[in-house]
Amino acid sequence: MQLDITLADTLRTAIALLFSTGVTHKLWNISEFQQTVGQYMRGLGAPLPGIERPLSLAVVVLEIAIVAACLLPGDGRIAAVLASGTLLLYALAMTINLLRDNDLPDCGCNWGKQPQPVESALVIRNGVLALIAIAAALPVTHRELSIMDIASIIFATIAAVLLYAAANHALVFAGPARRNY
Amino acid sequence: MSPALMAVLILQWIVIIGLAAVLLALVRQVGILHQRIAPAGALMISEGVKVGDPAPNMALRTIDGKDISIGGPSAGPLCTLVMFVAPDCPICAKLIPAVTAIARQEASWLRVLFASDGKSADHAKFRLEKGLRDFPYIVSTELGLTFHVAKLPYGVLLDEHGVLVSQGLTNNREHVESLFEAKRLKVATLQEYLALG
Repeated sequence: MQLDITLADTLRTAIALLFSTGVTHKLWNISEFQQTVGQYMRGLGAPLPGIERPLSLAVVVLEIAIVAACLLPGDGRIAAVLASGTLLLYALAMTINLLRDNDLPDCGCNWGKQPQPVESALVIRNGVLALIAIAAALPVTHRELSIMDIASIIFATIAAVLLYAAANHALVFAGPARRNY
Repeated sequence: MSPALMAVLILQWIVIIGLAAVLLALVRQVGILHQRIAPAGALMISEGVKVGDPAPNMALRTIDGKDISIGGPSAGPLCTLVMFVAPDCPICAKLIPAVTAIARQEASWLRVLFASDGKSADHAKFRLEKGLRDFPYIVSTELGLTFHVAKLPYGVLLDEHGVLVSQGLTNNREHVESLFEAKRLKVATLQEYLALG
């Protein structure tokens, strides 16, 4: 199975955008993110004192590396595997916390100001995103990109960002609605 | 690629992006409406302490570490409104400014306490964000269990003798004020008063 270059480039651009917005949000709210990492670690049964800061910085560096791997020319497989693996790692951390009934008021992954509590819906979201990301590791049919191809990559990325934002907003608001009523 | 096909493709992308943008706007609007529109009625849903019964005298500690007493005759000369809130409750966030305004207006006869349960660190942050420094904030599972608080925001009004005079799900300022009206009218809820005809 081979992936057309327009689809592969769209996937790489979308993954880069996903992680770049995530890393921007984390850097912007680094102290809150460190607290979130600490809460995750307590849920994982590894409340190592002082681990929050280096671990949160490691996550930030990892996400910057994914963005760079997506945007730099070359083999997209590294970017795809890194992105998919990271998303699955987050999903695993969330699943363990959920299974241990460790309520996390914020996943540390939302773009907006409203906290997004960790729920099973977020695990599913990450699983779907990991599947999409790993698709970028498929072999690519190389050809010269036309203007229409470039336009398609840009338009498809915009549409993907808007649809993801809509789906994520629905998840953010669905959580409190389920808990309070 | 022919110019006509290019035009059709571009048009198709414009339509797709337009639809996605409209979808995002609708989802955001649904979220905003969800925060603004509260469930109808200031319902008394608790099966804990009954209206007219004295609330158990509870010696508690505020998030600041100060001792505080709720219920029983030692509660003091003021009536007590215990507002149960939570950091992840959007309606609580909307209601808190109204409750603090009421507390300041009615300070001559009413003391207002905020209560919740969960992790103290989350509540300390929530308290600071919502400007509740001037109000006692209690994090106690026992308090919520005593009044069987299941949904938020929930208000419990005790009179000066520590007797439960009114309680209910308070989704807006009117619902909070309905607790005071119920006390004035000597009924458990305004619904009961209306039912009396």
